[in-house]
Amino acid sequence: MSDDEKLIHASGNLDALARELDRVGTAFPRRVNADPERVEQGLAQLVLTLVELLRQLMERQALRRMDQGTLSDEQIERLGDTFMKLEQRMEELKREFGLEDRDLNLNLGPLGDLL
Amino acid sequence: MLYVYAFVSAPASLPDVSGVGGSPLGARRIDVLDAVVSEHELPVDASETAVLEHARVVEALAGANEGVLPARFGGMHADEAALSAAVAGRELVEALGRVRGCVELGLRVLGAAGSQASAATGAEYMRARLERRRKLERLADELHVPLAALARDSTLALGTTPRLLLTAAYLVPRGDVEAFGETVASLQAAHPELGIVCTGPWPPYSFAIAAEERS
Repeated sequence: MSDDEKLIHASGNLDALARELDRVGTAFPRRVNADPERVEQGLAQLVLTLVELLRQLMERQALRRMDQGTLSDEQIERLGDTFMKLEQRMEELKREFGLEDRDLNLNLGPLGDLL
Repeated sequence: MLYVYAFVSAPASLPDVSGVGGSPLGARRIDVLDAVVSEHELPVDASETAVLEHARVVEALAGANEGVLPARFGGMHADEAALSAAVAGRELVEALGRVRGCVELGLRVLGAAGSQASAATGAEYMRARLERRRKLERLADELHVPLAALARDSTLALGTTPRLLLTAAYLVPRGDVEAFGETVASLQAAHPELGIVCTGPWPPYSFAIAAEERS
């Protein structure tokens, strides 16, 4: 099978797409790292994955309510400020534990990817 | 141990390719289906080579059989009885009927590179997020909806990363692949600012794995 045999349509730079897909994950099932020497990183990966999932779910819910017009300006400001700070803190924690975006996407089998 | 590649309608037409680690392919009859398997002493390790060998078998099976339900990489069973027990009650026959005569086409849409403007206030942050969400939904209306209309089934994910705006898979009758490609080309012409990549035909991975494990 040659590389372009499976390409029905492509525009622009495929390298850019490859880089982007690299951020999403790999072909292999992602497991929490339980190596005793690096157990702290494995635990951080698990905890940050769950925090990121909750952050995204809450943000989605908040956007829906904002879209429906059921949030006051004050509530929008407070929620936005919270999400913004959470996002910044997540970036700091990811750096601290040497984790990438793709490390926080656990495959849940039949339920699909977490994020 | 039995390593499973895919399920097909019995009798399976086995292509002339070898399985993981060069092992020969065989078929095990389960009701009206054949499970295409190879025998191994030890569990198959996850390696790039093994993943590609698995994919090559599924690809060849899709070419040799009218319909194929790919199994997830790495699925092993102790023996034939364990395999039968594992698939008992799963609606494999119905799932095979859904994908029969169809191939999977993948679509990925890449937006322009650009740094996300950082918001100064909470309200600004929320407005930017809402605007992005609406943009993604409009994009889905313009690109995904017309393509999904050509497909028997489809999956869709929006905004996976800041640049990867849309990821979708379509279950398309084999004879409609060319028309699908033409529609993609016309959508690209209408959206020159986007990087649209359409790949395939693939075995219907996105439409089989869920059915395989829905139990």
